[in-house]
Amino acid sequence: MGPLIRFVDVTKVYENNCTALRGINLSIEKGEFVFITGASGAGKSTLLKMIYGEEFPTSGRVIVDSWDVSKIPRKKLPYLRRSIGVVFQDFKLLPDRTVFENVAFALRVTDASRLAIRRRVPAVLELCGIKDKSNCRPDELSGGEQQRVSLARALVNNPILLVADEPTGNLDPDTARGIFALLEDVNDMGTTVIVATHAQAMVDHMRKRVVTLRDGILQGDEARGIYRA
Amino acid sequence: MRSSTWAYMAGEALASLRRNRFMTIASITTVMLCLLVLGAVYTFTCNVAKLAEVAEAQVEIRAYLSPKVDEKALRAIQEQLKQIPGIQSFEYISKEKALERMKQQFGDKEGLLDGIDKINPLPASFEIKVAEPSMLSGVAETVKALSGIDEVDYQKELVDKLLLVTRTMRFGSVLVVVGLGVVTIFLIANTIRLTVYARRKEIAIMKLVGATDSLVRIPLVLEGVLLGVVGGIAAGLINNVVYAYVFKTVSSSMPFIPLVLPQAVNGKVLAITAGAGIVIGMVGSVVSMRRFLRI
Ligand SMILES: Nc1ncnc2c1ncn2[C@@H]1O[C@H](COP(=O)(O)OP(=O)(O)OP(=O)(O)O)[C@@H](O)[C@H]1O
Ligand SMILES: [Mg+2]
Repeated sequence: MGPLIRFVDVTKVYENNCTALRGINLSIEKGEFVFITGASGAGKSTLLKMIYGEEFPTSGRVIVDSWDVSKIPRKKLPYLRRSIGVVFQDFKLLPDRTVFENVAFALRVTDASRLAIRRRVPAVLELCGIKDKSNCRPDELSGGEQQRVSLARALVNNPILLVADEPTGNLDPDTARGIFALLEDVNDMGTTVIVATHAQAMVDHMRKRVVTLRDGILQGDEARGIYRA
Repeated sequence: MRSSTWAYMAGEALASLRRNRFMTIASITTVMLCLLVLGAVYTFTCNVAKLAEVAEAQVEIRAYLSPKVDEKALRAIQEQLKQIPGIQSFEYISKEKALERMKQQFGDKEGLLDGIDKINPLPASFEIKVAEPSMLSGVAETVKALSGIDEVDYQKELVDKLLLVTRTMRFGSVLVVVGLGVVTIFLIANTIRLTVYARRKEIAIMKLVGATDSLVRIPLVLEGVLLGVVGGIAAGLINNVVYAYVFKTVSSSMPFIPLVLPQAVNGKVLAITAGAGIVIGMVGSVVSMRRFLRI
C-alpha cells in the first residue's frame, strides 16, 4: 500500500491570479502526525483544502487514499469528505443548533441510524471533554469549547484522516495545549493527523514531522522538526 | 435513504418555515393570490362554456318539406331521419300546426292574418335537434340531400359565433393560466432564493462535512412544496366560498343566467389550485438553489 496522501507537482492559482502553491510534492503515510507551518499567506489553508476537496489544483494531482481528488466527480465528493474529519479555523458550527445536533449532523449526512447517532455522539463528546455542554448552543460556549465541538464533529464519523486548520488560532496556551493533547490522542488511536498551525511552542515541544511552506513553495520537511516560518 | 433521515429532512423543512416566519407568510400569500386568480379564471371559463352549451342546445335545424310530399313520402323521410347519426330528436310540424303557431305569435294582432286560413302559404317542416352543436352543419347538409326536403335552415351565424367564443375563451384561459404559473414560479423561486441565501453558510457547512446535494436539496424542495400547497389550498377554498356566494346571489336575482353548480366546479378548482401549488413550489425551489450547491 502506498502513502495515504500524495501531492504530485501541485500548483494552485486562484481566479484572481494569486499563486497560492507552486510545484508541491509531498507524501504522508497512514498514521502520521504532520504539522504544516509557514507565515500567513504561505498557502497552508490552500494545501489542506485540496485534501478534502474544497479547492482543486490548477495543475498536478492530489491523491487521498484511493481517490484522485484533483479529478473527483461532484457526485463522489461527499463520500471523500465523510472519510476525512475537518476542524475549521472558524469552527463552522451551525449557530441555531445544540452541540449535540452539530455533532450528530455529520453523522446524519451519512444516513446513519437513530441508534448509531444516540450511541456515537455522546461517546465523541465525552472524548473531546464537552459532554456536559451537549444542550448548549455554540454562542453559549467559549472559543476553546467551540473548537472541541468542531473536533468532535470531525471525529464522529471515525475518519481515516483528521485535518485541522489552525485549531488553536485564538486560544490561550493552556487551552491550546489541551487541544493538541487531544489531537495526539486521536493520532495514537490510529488516525492520521495533519495540523496547520502558528503555535510555535507546541510544534517545538511535540517534535513531530514539520512541513514548512514559504510563498507557496515547500521549504522544508523534517521528521522530528521544530517550527519554521 | 432510511426513514429517520426522511423524518429529519421533513423536520428541517418545518423548522426552517417556522424560523423564517415572515418569509413563509409572504410566500404563501403570493402563491395564494396568484392561484386565486387562476381559480377565478377557471370558474369563469366553466361558466362561459356552460352558457355557450345552453345557447347551442337551443339551436335547431328546420327542414322545410316540398308541397309535393304525400303521406307515404313523409313516413319515408321520417324513417330516414331516424337513421342519420347526430340527430337527437325531431318533430314534425304540419302546415296547420305552423299556422297555429304563427297565430299565437301574432297574439292580439291576429286580425292581420284574417283570410290566410284558406290559402295557408306556410310549408310543413321538421324541427331537428342535434346532439352536438359542431354537428349542425353536417346534419343540415345530409337532411337537405333527402328527397322531399326543399330548404334547410339553421342559425349558422349564431352557431359559428358561439363556437368561436368558446374556443377563444378556452385558448385565452390557457394563456392566462400558463402566464400566471410562470409568474408564480418566479415569485416562489425568489422567496426561496432569499431563504437559501440566508442559509448559504449553513448549506456550505453541510456540504463540507459530506452532505450530498439531495440531503441539502430535499428539505428545501419540501419547504417549497409546503408553501405551494398551503397557498394553493387556501386559494381553492377562498374561491369555493366566493363562488358559492356568487351562485346563490345570481341564481336568486337573475335565475335566467345558467350558472354552473358550485358542487360541480368547486372540487375541481381546489384540486387545480392545490396541484398547481405543489408544482410551482417544487419548480420554484429547484430553480432557485442550484447556484448555492456548488461547494
Ligand atoms: N479563495 C481565494 N481566492 C483568491 N486568493 C486566495 C483565496 N484563498 C487564499 N488566497 C490567497 O492564496 C494565498 C495563500 O492563502 P492561504 O489561505 O492558503 O494562506 P495560509 O497559509 O493559510 O495563511 P494563514 O496563516 O493566514 O491562514 C494568499 O496569498 C491568499 O491571499
Ligand atoms: Mg490559513
